[in-house]
Amino acid sequence: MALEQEKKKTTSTTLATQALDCPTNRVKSKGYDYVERHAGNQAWIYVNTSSTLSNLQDSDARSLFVESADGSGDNVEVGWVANDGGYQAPTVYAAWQNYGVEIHPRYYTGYHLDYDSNAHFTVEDKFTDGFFDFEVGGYGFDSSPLMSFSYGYDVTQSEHFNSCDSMWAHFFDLSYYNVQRQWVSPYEGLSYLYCTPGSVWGYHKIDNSEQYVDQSADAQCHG
Amino acid sequence: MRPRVRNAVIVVSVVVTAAFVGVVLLNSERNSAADRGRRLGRILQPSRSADLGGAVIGRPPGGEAVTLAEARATVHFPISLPTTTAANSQNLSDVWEANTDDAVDLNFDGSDVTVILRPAAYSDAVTRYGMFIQQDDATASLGQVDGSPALVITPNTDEPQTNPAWIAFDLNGVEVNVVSHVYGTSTLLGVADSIAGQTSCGSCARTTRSRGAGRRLGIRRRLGSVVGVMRVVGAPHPSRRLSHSGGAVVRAFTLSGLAVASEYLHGKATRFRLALAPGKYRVVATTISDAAGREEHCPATVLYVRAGRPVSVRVNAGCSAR
Repeated sequence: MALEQEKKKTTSTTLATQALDCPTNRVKSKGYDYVERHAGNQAWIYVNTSSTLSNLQDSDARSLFVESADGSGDNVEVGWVANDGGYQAPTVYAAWQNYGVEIHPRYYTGYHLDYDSNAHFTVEDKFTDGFFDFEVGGYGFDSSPLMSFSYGYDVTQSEHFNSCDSMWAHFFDLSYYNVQRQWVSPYEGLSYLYCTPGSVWGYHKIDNSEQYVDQSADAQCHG
Repeated sequence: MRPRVRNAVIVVSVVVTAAFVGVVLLNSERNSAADRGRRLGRILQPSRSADLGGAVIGRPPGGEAVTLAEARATVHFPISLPTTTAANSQNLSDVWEANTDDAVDLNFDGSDVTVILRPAAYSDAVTRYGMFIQQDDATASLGQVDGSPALVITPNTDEPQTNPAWIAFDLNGVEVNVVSHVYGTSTLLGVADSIAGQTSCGSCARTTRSRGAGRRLGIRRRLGSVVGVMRVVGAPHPSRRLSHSGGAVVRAFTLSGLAVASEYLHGKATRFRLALAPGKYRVVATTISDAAGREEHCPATVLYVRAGRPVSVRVNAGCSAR
């Protein structure tokens, strides 16, 4: 059902691309586990169809964060991005912000992402010592420097940079890494966090383990 | 993803002001966590984040706007306001409290200057800030705030060249962060000095002679390094889908157990280099042994690091797989 919706959206997006000018427009939709801070975030993330990702106007990304809760904006992020950094196909990446200092995405090409499938992403501070590790499909591929935090909010995010590109996203088996250094599923309290004002794409919660970003009647976007 | 918006500062200023007025707490979800929050004296609720992406400096995600008095009554550390032209009690615009009750954000003159107070996540500020200077991709140095070591980060020097000016220093176990997209580090050091001067030595006779300039120290010259080779000594367990090809991590810990440096070894890479302040450390290598993330620990290698002089070491990984 979900994939059918996504494909349907792909078709309409393609038509829209042909018919309309496609303005640059950075848009995000974010959900988060508001209950507690955690030291890791883990989920399956849907990789959109080839027809969706082969006709992008700009970059298109889906990701998981652990985001500092103190207002510093510091975070660690893992996920996939298409049409970015010279990579047309969806590509695994990690990124972080530490004391306000950001890096460009660090791409990892050693793990192949199939279109129209799901990939398992993890970002975790295994020893709760401030160093976060990034994994895809169980493969560790990068680690952060010593961060300003060990615990933060677990966040899901779908993001595009052009109005004609899809933001359709599906996150499931949402899990967190707790203070006992154990993975627990699902989130304790998945909730809407943010949506760029005016976006036609919204946060759509199924339950604490599963979330979409779509254009359904249940999608939230309050800006 | 790294924002591509080049003029994010302008957008943030406009939106933050408007959004602050419009923060709405959602009451749609209450569960055991909410009960936990009540026991702590507050009701935890999901809230709409008043920012561009839930990650704007000075607005804790899920946090709430409070009065200064409310913030002072909640957190377990003193909140001293700066007394400079750029930031003072008269131009304090708003106060935010993290949902976790342990951090406070003070925004001055809109969001021209933000002061973030949070519990220190380190045991030694000099080591912590030295690691940042060595590892992170921005121009930074070790300075002083009211005689204490401080991290001084030059604005617009990270990879996207959009980072704010940032001063961080320790004040009795609380990390004080003074941040601005408008002012440079000199102004922020003055703000930081005025905060520290009120708190760190309340009844002492002080002079302002050492304040303001934030004297910078040559931290790069003080660091040493460990260069080494990791060897995987254990055979992959039959039940494990990955052996060392899953990667490995080499970490250095202080003897008190604080991790201060790490390097990820991709694929079959074995050589590493860790930058460390002079001192005694335990170095541990760990392979990522399987898809479940179980790890194999070998005994730590203990070594001394001296300033400006690399120390060679060989460490083992995969011991529990033998």
